[in-house]
Amino acid sequence: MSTETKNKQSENIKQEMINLTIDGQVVSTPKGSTVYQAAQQLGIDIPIFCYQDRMPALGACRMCLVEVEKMPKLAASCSQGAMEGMVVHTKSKKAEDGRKSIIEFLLINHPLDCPICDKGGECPLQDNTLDYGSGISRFVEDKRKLEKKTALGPLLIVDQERCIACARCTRFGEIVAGDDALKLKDRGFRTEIGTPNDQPVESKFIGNTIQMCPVGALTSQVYRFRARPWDNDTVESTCTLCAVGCNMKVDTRDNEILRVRSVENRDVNDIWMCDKGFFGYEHVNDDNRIKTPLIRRNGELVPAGWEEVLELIANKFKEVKASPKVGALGGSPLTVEENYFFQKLFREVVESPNVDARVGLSQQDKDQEAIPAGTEISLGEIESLDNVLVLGSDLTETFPVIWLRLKQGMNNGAKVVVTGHHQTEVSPHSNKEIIHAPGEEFAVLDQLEKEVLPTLKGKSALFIGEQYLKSTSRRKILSTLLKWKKQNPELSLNILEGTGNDLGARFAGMHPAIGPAGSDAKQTGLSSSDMLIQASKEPWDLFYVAGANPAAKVPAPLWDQIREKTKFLVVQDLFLTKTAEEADVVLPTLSFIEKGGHVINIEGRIQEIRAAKSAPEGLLSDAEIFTLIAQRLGTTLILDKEFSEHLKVERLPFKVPTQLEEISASTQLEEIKGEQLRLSLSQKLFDHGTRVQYSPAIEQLVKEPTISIHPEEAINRLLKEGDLVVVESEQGTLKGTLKVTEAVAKATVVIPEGFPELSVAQLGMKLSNATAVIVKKG
Amino acid sequence: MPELRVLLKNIDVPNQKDLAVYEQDQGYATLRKAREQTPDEVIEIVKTAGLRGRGGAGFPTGIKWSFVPKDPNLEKYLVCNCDESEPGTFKDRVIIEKDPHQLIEGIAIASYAIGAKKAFIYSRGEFYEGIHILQAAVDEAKAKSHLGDLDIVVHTGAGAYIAGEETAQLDSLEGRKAQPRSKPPFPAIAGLYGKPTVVNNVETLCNAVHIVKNGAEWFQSIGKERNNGTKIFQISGHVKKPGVVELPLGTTLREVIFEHAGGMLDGRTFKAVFPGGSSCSLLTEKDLDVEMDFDSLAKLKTMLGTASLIVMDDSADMVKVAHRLMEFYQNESCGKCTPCREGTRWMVQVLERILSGEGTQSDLDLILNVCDDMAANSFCPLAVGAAPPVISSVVNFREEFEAYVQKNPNADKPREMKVKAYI
Repeated sequence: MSTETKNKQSENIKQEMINLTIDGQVVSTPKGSTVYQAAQQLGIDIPIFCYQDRMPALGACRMCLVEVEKMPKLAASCSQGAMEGMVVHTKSKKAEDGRKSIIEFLLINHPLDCPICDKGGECPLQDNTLDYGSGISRFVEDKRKLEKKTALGPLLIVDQERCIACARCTRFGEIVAGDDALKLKDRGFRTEIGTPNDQPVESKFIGNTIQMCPVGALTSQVYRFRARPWDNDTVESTCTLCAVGCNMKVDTRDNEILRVRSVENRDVNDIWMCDKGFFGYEHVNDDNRIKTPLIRRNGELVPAGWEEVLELIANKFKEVKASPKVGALGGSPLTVEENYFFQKLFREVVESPNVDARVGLSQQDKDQEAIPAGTEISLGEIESLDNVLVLGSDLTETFPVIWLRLKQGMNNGAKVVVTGHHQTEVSPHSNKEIIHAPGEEFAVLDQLEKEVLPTLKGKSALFIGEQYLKSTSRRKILSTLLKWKKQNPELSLNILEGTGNDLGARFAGMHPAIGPAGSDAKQTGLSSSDMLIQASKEPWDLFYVAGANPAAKVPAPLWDQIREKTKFLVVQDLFLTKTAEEADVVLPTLSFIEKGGHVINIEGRIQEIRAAKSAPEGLLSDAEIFTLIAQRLGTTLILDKEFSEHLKVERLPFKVPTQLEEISASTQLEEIKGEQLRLSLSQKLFDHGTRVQYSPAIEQLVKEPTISIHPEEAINRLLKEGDLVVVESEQGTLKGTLKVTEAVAKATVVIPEGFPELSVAQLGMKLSNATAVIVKKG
Repeated sequence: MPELRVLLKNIDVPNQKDLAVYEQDQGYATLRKAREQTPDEVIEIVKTAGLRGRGGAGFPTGIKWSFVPKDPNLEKYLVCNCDESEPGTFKDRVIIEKDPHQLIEGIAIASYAIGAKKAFIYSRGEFYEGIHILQAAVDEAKAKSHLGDLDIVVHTGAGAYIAGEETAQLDSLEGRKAQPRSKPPFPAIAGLYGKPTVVNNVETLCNAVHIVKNGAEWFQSIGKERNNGTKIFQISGHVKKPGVVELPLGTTLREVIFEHAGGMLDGRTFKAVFPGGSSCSLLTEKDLDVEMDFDSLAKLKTMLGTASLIVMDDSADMVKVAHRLMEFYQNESCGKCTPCREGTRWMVQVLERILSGEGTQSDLDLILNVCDDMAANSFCPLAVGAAPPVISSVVNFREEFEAYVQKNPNADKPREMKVKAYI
C-alpha cells in the first residue's frame, strides 16, 4: 500500500463524517449515525416511542417516520442510517400524514383515561398526540378490553389496555439489566406485557421500566393514583442507600414524598437507578419513626424534651471528658458535614480519639486495609472498558447500578471475567467464571495471571469486592493486583466496598486513625470492634451511636455484656433499632431526604443532597444535634474553612500505591479441620436493615435468608434443602434454614449479612471470609 | 403444454424418500460434482442460471450466496425455510414428504457454496409427517457419509406465520419469539447468532441441485428471460383438479387453471384468483392471459409470490373473502409494529361490521385508506401483504361491499363515534 493511500485511509478513519440535508439544513454527522441522531444535532424534533437512546433502535412503533427523497416509503428515522447526500424531510405533508396515521393507530385501542392516569401531564403519547395527531379519529369500533390492574410483582402494576407495545420495558430487561424481567406475550393486537412463566417479576431495576414507559401502562404500587405530576414539588438530590450515589429527583406533595425518579448523570448512574433507590424512600414517611427524644426512666424509655436530653448529654460529656472509655460509633447515613461535626465533637470537645463510622464493616487496621474503598476510573468510564475482571464482588447486590453500567460496557464489547465464592446475577453474562472456596484466592489469582492477564487488550479494569476484601489476606491480594497493574498500565484498580456515605464519613474523619480530609489522626483511637470488645470486658463510660446498630453486629451474649458494662448509651436514629431500644437516651433525627449536605460515593465523587421536604415537627438533623450539644459545652461547631475547600472538588483523588511492602504481621489463613467449611459473607440489596424494613414496597422483595452450601457438602453431611441447621464457629453459633445449591463453591458456606433473623454476627466479632465453621443438623 | 417435472420428477416413485431409492437416480452425485468445483464456481453457475428465490420475493439466489463473506474463519449458516404457511401454499410439503433427499442434497450444495458447516431446516410445526421423514432422511444421509462435515438440524416451528419471514425465522431459531429484525444488516452479513447466514426456500434449494447437475444453460432454456426454470404451481379453490403442477415460468394463468387444474367446477364460472398466495392483489377474468412469472405479474401490480393460486368462482362472497383473509393477518401479525398490529385488527372490525349489516358507505374508503397507511408504514412485509387482498377485493368488487352496506338504513350517514375527540 502506498503511503498516500495509507494517509488517506487514516484520514478517513479520523473524519468519517457524512453530510446530509434535513429540512433544508445541511448537517455533518459521524458515519454510522441514524437520521434521528442527525436531526437531533440540528435540534429538529422527531417524535419517538420505542426508541430509547441507551438501547439499539428497534424501529417498531413507526412514530419517527420521515420522508427521505428517492426512497419509496417513509423511513423510521431511529433506525435509518444517515447516508451521504441524503435529503430528508421531517415536516413534509407525506411525513406528517405518516405520523398522523401512526398516532391514529396507537390511539384506536388506547383508553381515554388520561384524567385518571398517573402518566397524564408527563405522557409522551399525550404530548405527541397534541403535536402530531390529527385531532380526530375515524375509529368507531369497540376498543379492546383488557386487564386494567395486573400486579406483576410487589412493585409493578400493568394496565394492559394502555400498553402500546413499544417494548422499551422488555428490552430494558434484555439489554440493560440483563434480567429478562418482562416479556411481551402473545402476538398481534393480543400482545400483552407479562413475565417469564407468569411468575412475579424478578428484577432489581423494575423502577426504570416504569420511568421509561411512554404511556401509563406500567405504574408503581407506591405512586399509583397518588398525584398528578403538576401538583408535585420536585427537588434534585442524591440517593444514599448504597455507595453508588445515583442522582435522583424527589417528588413531594403537601410535604409528603410520593416518588423518586432518577436524574441523568453520565458520570455516575447514567439515567438508571435500582429499586432500592426508587422505592426505598418509603421509610421516611413511616409512622414508626421516632417522633420525640426518649429518655430512660425507671427502666422504660419515655418521651422527653430536647432541652432535657441535650442538657443530660452535655453533662455526661463533661463527666467523661478525656476518658479512654468513650466511643462514637456510626456515621454512614450522615452527611460529610455531620460526620465532620461528630468526630470534632468527640475529638475536640469530649477529647476522645475513639471515633469510627465502620460498624459491621471490615475493620482492618490501616496496614491490613492497605488501600481503602474507591475507584480509579469514574463510573461513566465503565461503559467504554474493553476488559473487566470482577473479583469477589456481587455487583447487583452491592452496587446495583455499576452492574447496569458494566452491562452496557458488555453491550459495547467488553469481555468480563468473574470470580467469587458463589455465582451471582452477573454469572450468566460473564465470558469466564471461576467459583472457588474462600481462602483459594491466590490460586485463582495465579490462574488469572497466566490465562487472562496476558490476553487483556485496551482499557481494562479490576473490580474487587467484599468477598476478597473481607479476607485476612486483603493486603496480599491487593499487592498482587498492584503487580498486575505494573505489567499493564491500562489496568485500573477499583475497590468496591461499603455502602451509603461510608467514603464521606471516612473523609470527614470518622475513623480512629484518620482525621478530616485524610490527615493522620492526632491520636489514634480504637476501632469500633475493639471498642465493643473492650466494653464487653470492663466498664465503659459512654457510647454515642449515630446511624448505626452495633447490637445487631455483635454476638448477642457479647452485646448483653457490652450493654451491662456501658454506663451511658446514646443512640441517634430514625427508628428504634435494637441498640436504641436499650439506650439511655434516644435522639430522633432526620433522613437524607429531609436535610442538606454532601455525600461521597464509591468513586470519591462529592455530591449534594438537598432537603426535599421539611423536617417532621420537633425533629433535628444530626448536625443540629451535635451543634447544640457542643454549644452547651461552650464550643461552636463550624466547618473548618480548609475542610470546606476540599468539598469543592468534583472527585477526591484515589491514590493507588505502586506497590505494598510485605508486613510480617499479616494474619495466616486458619487451617480447615475435618468437617469444617469456610465462611463467605454475602450482601443483599434487599436485606432486613431498618430502611428496607420500614419501606413496605421493597420489603416484599426481601428473600428469606438462608445458609447455602454445595450439594456435595450437603450429601456428605446428610443434609437437605430446607433443613434447620446450626453453624458453629469458635466464637458462637447460628441457626438457620439450609439452601443446597450448585451456585455455591464446594467447601464453602455462604451466609448473608443484614438479617436480624439470621444474624451472622452471632458467629463472632471480626469475622472474615474464610473463617472456619461447621454446619450440622439443628 | 404438458407438465415439465424437474423437482417433482420422482415424487411418485415408490419409497423415493429412502436413500437407496434416491441414489438410484444419480442421488447425491450432483453434490459430489459440486464438491469437485470451488464454492465460487458453484455460486457462479447458480448466478448464471438466473435462479430466483422461490419463497415469494424472487431475489436472485446466486447473488444472495455471493453476499456471504469469504473469510474461512467466520462461522456461517444455511437456513432452509420450510415454514410453509402462506395461505394456499403446499409445494414444500410435497418435496419433504416425497423426495426429502433432493432437498438435503440442495442444502449440502448451498452450504458448500457459502462455506457453512451447519444448516438448519426450519419446518412448519404442523408438518408432523414431513418432519419425521426429513429427520430420517438426514440421519440416513449422514450415516452414509453423504454430508461430509455438514451438520443438518431439523427444527420445528411453533405455529407462527411470521416465522416464514427470514429474519423472524432467525429470531425463532435462536429461541426468541418470532419477530422480524431490522435490515440492514442483512442475514448474509449478520444472521443467525449474528453470523453470516443464507435463508433459502425449499424449492429454491432443490432447483440448485438440478442447475448444478444440468448446467446453467439448461436452466436458462426453461421459462423466460429473467424468469428461468420451472415453478411448482399449487392450485386450490373452486377447480376440478386442485393440487401441484410443475410448469415452466411464463405459462399463462389461463393454462394453469383451465388445463392443468381442470377448469372450474361444473356449472360455475371463474370469478377471481389470488395468483401468488393470499398476500397479493387478486386477478379477474380480464387478466387470465397473464404469463405466470415474476415480472409479468409485477406489471399487473400483483405478484408470483409462492405461485399458489387460490381460485374463486361466482359463488365466492368477496366481502367474506376479504374478512377471512384479514382475520388471518390479524391473528398472525406479530405485534411488533404499530400499523400492522392495530391496522389488521381495525380492518377486521370494520369488515365484521359490514358483514353484520352495520357498515356505512364511508367505510369503503376508510378500508382503502387505512390499508394504504398500514402497508405503507409497517416494519416488515406482513402488513404489506395484508392490504392487497382486501384493497383489490374492494376495488374489483365494490358493488358486493355496497350491497352489504345498503342493508344498513343509515348507510349514508357517517357513523357516530362513541367517544368524540376534541383537541
